[in-house]
Amino acid sequence: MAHPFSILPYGPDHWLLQLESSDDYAVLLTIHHQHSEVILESIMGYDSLLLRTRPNTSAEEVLAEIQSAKSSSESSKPEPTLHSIPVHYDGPDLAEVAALIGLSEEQVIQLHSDALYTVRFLGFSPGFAYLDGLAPQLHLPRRKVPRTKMATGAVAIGGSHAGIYTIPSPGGWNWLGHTDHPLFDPSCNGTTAFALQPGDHLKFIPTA
Amino acid sequence: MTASSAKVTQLGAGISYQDLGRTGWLNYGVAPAGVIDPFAASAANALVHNLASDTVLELMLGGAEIEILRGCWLAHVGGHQCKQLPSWSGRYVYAGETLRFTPSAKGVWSYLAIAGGWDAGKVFGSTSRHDRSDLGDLIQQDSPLHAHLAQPSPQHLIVRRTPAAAQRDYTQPPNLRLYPGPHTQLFTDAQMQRITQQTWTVSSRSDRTGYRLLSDVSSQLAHQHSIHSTPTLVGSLQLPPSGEPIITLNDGPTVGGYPIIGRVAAEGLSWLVQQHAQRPLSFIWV
Repeated sequence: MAHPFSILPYGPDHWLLQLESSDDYAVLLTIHHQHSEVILESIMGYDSLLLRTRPNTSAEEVLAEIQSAKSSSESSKPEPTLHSIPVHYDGPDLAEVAALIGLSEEQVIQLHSDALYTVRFLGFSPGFAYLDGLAPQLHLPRRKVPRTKMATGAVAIGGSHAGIYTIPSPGGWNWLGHTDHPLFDPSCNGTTAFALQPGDHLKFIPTA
Repeated sequence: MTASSAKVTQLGAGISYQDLGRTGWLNYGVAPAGVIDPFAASAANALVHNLASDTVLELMLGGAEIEILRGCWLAHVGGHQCKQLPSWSGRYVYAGETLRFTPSAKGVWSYLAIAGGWDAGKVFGSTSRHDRSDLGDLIQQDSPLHAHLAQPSPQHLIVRRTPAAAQRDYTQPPNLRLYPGPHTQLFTDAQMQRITQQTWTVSSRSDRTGYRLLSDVSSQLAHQHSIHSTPTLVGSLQLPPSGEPIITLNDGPTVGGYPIIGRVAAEGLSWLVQQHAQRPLSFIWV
């Protein structure tokens, strides 16, 4: 049976499902949510899925497991949640971004807040979501000199992604604004600490 | 809260609570953290009859001083020098003693275990401190330290030692076993062989997030490939465009944008992290 990914070796008990086309992301999300006795952990990347398997599982067995789960449609893929994130567009890079692409700040805000985003995967730091759906005009290179500190709640864009910093961290993305919306709450001490999940949708709502 | 067992009187380069780390949270962007040399940490725990999963103190290269406030069983394993409690030994230490740890040429990290484990708050299933995400309790100058489970501490003078055959001489690292990674096909066989045909040294720009490696011929591994963000594991060998590999470690980001050409076997990592700059290291492909 044809499948849109390769199964690549990644050391003992780990495999990387690598998509041939990053458009087939939904396939990874379905596999990610499959119940399995063979696949013990599954970690979403941009166009790949890292699987930790039971010891001594072969690539053929991984593929068979994925396909048998698919045919029994035992995926527990949750309904995506739509998050509305209020944003104060007061970021230090807003003016520079506007000047760079020859638009007004208001037009940049409109481009950024008109789009419907999808959480591609979480990574980099706890609960940090790489968001797909950024308007192509806003696909800009990262800053040449990364900032040593982006604040919690910093709303930023980098390459083809939008994102929101969940903890203070260094970062090279262009900083457009900030939100007070809670995205990572370690005091929950469990999966509820993370507001966003891969596959969720997200809108930015401009606020004064 | 029981009375404190000890107090940090000199922080040195840093002392942190670590256990075996947070497993199962990579998909949420949470780094595992945890002891960077699990072999040494578990040897220290064993000397005070703890479980390998009990919390230890991890000492980074540099001086540190710990004052004992209440008699207790402690054990030290790692790269530091400590006259009062030499590496690979454990004993009953008395209130009023001070343990002084100084850097040595032998290794980089040391572990201090207490009978019953050190008491630290658990978050996402682990006490391990991760600085960048501020997870796990932070140890500062004068921080009081407690045993998690108070143990009966028989006071006697018998010193416990790790059997000589089970001790490690970090200055004699074995070849590090390297498994092929997902992006080897971006490189030629000759380039992949080059990784194992020459020796590498640890760069001084190495820390708990990752170790960088240097060699004379890294320019022959220079490349232009870029990949989409891919999940990384402890031990992932990433190859930046410069050709100087980065081995992802416990506190590193959970995704990387450089080709992942290999994964260093777990037992090799605990040798690697104890290497000072300049000491030659070799890999073998598995």
